[in-house]
Amino acid sequence: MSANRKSIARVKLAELKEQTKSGEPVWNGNLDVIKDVQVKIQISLGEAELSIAELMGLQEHSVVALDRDASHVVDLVLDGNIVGRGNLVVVGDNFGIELTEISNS
Amino acid sequence: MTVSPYILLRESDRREILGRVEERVYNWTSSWLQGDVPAFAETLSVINNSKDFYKVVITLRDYRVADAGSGRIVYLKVQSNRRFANLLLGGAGNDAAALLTDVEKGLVDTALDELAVQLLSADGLAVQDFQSRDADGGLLELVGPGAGAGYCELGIAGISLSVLLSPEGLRSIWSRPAAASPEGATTQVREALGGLNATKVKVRAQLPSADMTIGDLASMNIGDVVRLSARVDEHIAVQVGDSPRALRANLGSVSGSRAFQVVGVASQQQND
Repeated sequence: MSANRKSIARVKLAELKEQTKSGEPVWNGNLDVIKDVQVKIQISLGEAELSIAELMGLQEHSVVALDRDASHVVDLVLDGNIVGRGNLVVVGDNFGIELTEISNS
Repeated sequence: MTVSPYILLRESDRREILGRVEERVYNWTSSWLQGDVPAFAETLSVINNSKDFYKVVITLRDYRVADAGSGRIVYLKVQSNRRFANLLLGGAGNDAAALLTDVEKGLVDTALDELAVQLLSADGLAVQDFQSRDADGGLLELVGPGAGAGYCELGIAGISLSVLLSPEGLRSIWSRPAAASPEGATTQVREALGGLNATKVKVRAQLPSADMTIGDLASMNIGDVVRLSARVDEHIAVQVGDSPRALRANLGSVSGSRAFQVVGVASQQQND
């Protein structure tokens, strides 16, 4: 359906100005608004640095030591930031994390 | 200080190393000859009655150990038989000469590369982060102090691997244009990448990601246990740098450190 061309006008956006005196907080610190937002947490077990020669030489059954002691905590990583740490545990047939540290930031 | 020309290596490791080198050389040869290679077991059984086959002998020839400050350098050398090349050159002309150089070089490189990997993973060898070739193409491995208590000779010197190539397989080499040779291309890439061999790449071992809500996150307390969807009998993912490709691996420990054992390359779906 095409509109009558005489009724068409370009949109003109009003200039918005930031008010120096701020108004009331919209959310007022209420986390409920975002509490159901899903995020992906990566569980980082450790890292190793390999040369390309070593990397290309990897084969089935090759063993690579990581930069963590076996009993060291694991990192909970959100968007590249560590949000917590904990002990790797077994819960039934699954892995679990027993939290030992929660990042303040 | 006297340097002992011995490296700690169990007999079982020695056999394992040689077996894997043989297997790798066989696989390499099979890929070159498009599968036209007798199975290795058969090869060994006909090795003394090989009129119908040309025999390449790769000899893990020599090693020596020298002091290198913080450790020791082990020099390994592999040689292949010139008789093989002469035999083929007699009937094949110059184009074949270049191809056969590639064949020999490929066999030797394959044996050396595999040897390096096996030495790195062999028990008792504190191999440090160093791997290179000397001017003669020998492999250099820097072995840390403490390795090599004089238990057992490295055990590879003088031991030969024999590879039998059938006439049909060799014809497939001759008929293959040099420019289109996959090994030629591989060699070029290998040379081009040679300078990158020492470049470091970070690998990160991680469990499959866990879906949580921000509400869950915000209400976490120390001592809480978060149950993950990853099962303990599942493989973990090992991310290679920023690459979307990852390795599948089993989680474990080695000498008190957390470690992973490679299972294979994860499919794209598994990465996700």
